[in-house]
Amino acid sequence: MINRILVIFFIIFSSFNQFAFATDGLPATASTKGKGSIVDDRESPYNLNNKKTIQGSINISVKELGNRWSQIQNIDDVNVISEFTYENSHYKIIINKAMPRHPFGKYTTFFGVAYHEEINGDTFIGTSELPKLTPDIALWGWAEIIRDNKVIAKMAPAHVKVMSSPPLKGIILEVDTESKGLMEVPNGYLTVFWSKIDSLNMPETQEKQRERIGWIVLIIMNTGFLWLAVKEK
Amino acid sequence: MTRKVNELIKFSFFTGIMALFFDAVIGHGLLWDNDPYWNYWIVDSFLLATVTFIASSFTGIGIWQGFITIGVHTLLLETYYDVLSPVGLPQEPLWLSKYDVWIVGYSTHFLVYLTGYLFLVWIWRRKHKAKNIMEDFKVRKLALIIALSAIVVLLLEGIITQGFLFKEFFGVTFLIQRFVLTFIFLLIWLNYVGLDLKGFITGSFLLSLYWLTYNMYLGPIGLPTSFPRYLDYNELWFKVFPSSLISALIVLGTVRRFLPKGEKA
Repeated sequence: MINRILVIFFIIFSSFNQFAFATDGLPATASTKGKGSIVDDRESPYNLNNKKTIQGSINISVKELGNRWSQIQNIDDVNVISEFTYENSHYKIIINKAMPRHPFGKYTTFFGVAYHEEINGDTFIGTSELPKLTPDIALWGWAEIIRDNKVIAKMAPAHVKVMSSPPLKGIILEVDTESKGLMEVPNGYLTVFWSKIDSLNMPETQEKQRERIGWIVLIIMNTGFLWLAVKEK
Repeated sequence: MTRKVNELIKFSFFTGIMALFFDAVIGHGLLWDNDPYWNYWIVDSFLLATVTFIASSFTGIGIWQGFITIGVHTLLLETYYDVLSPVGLPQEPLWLSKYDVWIVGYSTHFLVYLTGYLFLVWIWRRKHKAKNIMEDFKVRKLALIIALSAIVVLLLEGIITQGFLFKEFFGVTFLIQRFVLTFIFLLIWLNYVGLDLKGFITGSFLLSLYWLTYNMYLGPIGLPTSFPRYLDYNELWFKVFPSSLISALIVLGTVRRFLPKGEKA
């Protein structure tokens, strides 16, 4: 009996190991290009009614590696490149360092990347000047800003949201909107918005696969312990 | 089943502990890959122990009672996290969405807590068997058997996981941590559950989950000579867990064969 059990587990083990080389984490990508807008408001970086038109693009590639408030926390992978022209200057924003914690600990940044989490509005996460949003992808990172081939900032706090549903459908890129400290940029911040999304790929298959595995394990365990408890009576 | 106060206190307390263990390893470890922080684990285990004690004092301990108790507890828990408390670091509160709380949260939490409750019912119904056998067992002999078993299972698991799968030594600190975890687990398991066929299979499975949970939340690899590193999701579930399970099955299967008749708890 025990030998049979061991053989079964060896077979299961072999099949498990095929997954061992799969990529860790949940990857997602999004992009858009073309006409967008940039907020031009000295007081509020989130006033999307006071804006100017820009032409540009943004490409986002992220990997969510979990949200563990444990001793050594996981830091997500982010990779964003955005280019646009604004007031006869060419801007290039590169974000490849995740922001695992807010610099002043004001709110959680989900270790860099979050999928389908409620933020803004009355959530205490991000600005309350925007309504409550549930972005498909939200990321926080440190941005390098290049204007006309000259680096004007190396580590500016940046935040990107990709939203496929209202109230703010599109992709929004915010750079230093909280402290408005970009000295070489008009108004001290950058808020760029595209109202359309050209492509959005979410890790729905992987998420569903995890859920399926978890539910199967739970049902097996419940059935097993139920059977053991009944038999023991 | 019994409604003696001492029994109910112990049952409720351990239901809280085991239900949260399954929540940590399966709910948050396998499904969601997150850790809501210490205040969640503490509040939830105490809430479950409280609800279980109150419910059991009226209905007793049993299977249908478990479904009702866990159903009510999960309702209270989800309400608590919907209207009274966020999760995450206290200074960085995260309010869960309605979908997380009431759709995925309720169903998954119900199942993980029910697993803990049913597991405890099984243990409660059989604990006298192992207890009777272990009363005549010499303590020194028990200590030696457990220490030897712990060393052998760690060696075997180390060869499979570190030698073949990772080709990386996890460090002396890792081995010491694993040894004490294994020693205490086997000590409790042999004395209160035993190693008959059901106990052997369940014990091997739980020991593997117990190791995995420790490494997921508390135990990095590499110490003391390297910078500590936490194993990631795929490493834990698709490498460490299966090799741990195989090792535990082989060693506990061997241990139970060598135990003299009557000592085979």
